[in-house]
Amino acid sequence: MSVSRSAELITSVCFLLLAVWYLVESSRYMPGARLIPSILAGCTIVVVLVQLASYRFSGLRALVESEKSSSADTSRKELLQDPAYRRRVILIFFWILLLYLLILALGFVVGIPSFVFLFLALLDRKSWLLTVLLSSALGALSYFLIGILLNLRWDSGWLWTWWG
Amino acid sequence: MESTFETILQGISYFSEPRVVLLALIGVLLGLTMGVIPGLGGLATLALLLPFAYGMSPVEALALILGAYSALYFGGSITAILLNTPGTGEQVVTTFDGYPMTQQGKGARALGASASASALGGVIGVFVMLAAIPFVRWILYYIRPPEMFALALLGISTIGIVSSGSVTKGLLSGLLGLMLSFVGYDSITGTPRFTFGSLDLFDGLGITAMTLGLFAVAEMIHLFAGGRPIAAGARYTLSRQPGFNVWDGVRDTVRQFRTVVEGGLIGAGLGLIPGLGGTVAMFFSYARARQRSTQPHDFGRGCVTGVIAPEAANNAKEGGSLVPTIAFGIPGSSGMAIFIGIFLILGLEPGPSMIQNNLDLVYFMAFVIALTSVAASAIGLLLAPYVARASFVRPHVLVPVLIAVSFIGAFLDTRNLAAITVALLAGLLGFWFKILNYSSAALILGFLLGPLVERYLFLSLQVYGTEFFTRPICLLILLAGLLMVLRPYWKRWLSGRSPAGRKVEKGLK
Repeated sequence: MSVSRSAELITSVCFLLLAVWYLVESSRYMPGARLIPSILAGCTIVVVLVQLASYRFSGLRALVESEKSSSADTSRKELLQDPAYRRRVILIFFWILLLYLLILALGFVVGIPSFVFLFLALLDRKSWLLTVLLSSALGALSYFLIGILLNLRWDSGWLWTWWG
Repeated sequence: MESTFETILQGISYFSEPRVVLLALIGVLLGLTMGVIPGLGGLATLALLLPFAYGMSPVEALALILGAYSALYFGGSITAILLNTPGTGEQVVTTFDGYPMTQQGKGARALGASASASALGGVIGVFVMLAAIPFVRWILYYIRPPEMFALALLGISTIGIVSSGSVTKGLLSGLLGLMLSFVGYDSITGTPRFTFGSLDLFDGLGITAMTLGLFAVAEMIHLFAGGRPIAAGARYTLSRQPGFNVWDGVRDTVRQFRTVVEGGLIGAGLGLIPGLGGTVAMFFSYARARQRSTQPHDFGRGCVTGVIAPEAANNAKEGGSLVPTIAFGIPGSSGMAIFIGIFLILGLEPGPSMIQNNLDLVYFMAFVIALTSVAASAIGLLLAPYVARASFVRPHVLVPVLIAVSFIGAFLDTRNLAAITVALLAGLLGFWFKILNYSSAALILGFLLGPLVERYLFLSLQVYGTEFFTRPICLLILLAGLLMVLRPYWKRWLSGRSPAGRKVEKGLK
């Protein structure tokens, strides 16, 4: 089974599990609060089952596949087969996670320019001037938006709180 | 008693003061800047400008604030088109075709189409605003919760139109959006739903964080992994060449004037109805243009009509939403709720007395919206060839900047750190959707409409019982929704029965 096919199946199963959980969770609420969520969960379960059935029966697949699909859509799925593409996806995911942790730990005003500096210094490596300028610009923008415009503390973050 | 013509002239005469014109221009520049920064949006812009109202005369304050408000939506469109980063939640519709155009090297052309459609849409909105004032009482009397529920369902029916790819994927995307919209505190029953006991989720997931994650962050992941600039393979000089430059976009708008007028009327008409929201107007306009098109399959792949239609609706809705605000003191949108505060600060009382005693100011506001929409678009047209260069910047520079700005934008909307968690997770989801050809557009539409559907359903049941479906206008709207859903299948069936259609089918086989 190809990578893209596996991805489609896993996604369908995830939708099914989410819908079942949603239905079970909403059954705990009072009738007014659970009415529409229950209907939505039920509809989702039905649609997912149709989708899973369409993977098995080609006649059904022809019915649910749209004419709107194009070669561009197919080529995006084929990207998953490319090891270099997958490697870069994982790499950027970890960088985004790093940004997230830097913001939580250091706050926006320090976390954002730190992230941009590290990213450009380690991955771009073309121009130190551009690295410093962009990092400074984003730091200034963060300070202006967070500190001045919204009048929030610039030193919000776990590290500063721990430091006291 | 002054005649209408004299009142209009009085409204125009306020522009004879250079200070008023200067403040309007400053407002336009501020609005464009605020609009470009994701997360700041209409509410934050109005809230930030509100203190300035204290020191100014009503005319000066309205020139500044309305100028900024009219311009900021076009500012949001710039980043939506060039970087797939909607400046406000409403610009998400502009990304559907605006960003693919940028990927094809036509970013400047998309900006030109957006600027001109916004300007014309703003003018149409003003005409609707002025024409609707005598009728707004009728509108507000007959559009009640059952009609609002029907309109929200009509919006959901456009999920099939805006989503590309398979039917089941479009439906699942929309259903997921609807399910996510119910996270948070239910105002009808007082029940916190799907919050896992966390106070951060009481207000829901936040439209800005969701939009920035699904579109901006997801696209940045894809851009970095692909390793090529947005307009891969092209050079920035392309933006000056025929077929790719900003004036081609303006010509596209002029050629598709009917789309502009339709979009403007849809935007202004839906803007008149309090509580529906601007994004719904843009989705409707987009869906209508796609349905009417002879080549609907081009939508979502860089079709300029897919930029023109929502942009015309976007600016037109502001004129429409001012009507219930001014005429009855009923805010047409959340931004208009702040406007009511501004009116009170300026000593103006929104409602029938404003129409009676300050009609010249009402006309002045209409002219400010029209002129500043045009001014913002003119500035945009001049800057577009230079701004479009952003689409040629290499990913290693663009990606960290945009992801950082997206996270800031997500935080700005709610001032809650949980928003960046939402943006992160939405980004991963959006990327996965992109790869597997699910529809982030359908997800966002479901996310926006879910609370509306529930709220108006329960209000309708409480006030009218189960017979609320039998109200004539409600029935008409539901019928329109049904026709919208069935239309593609009806057309396909008809073409299959016709001799020409059978020939085409044989040829395809």
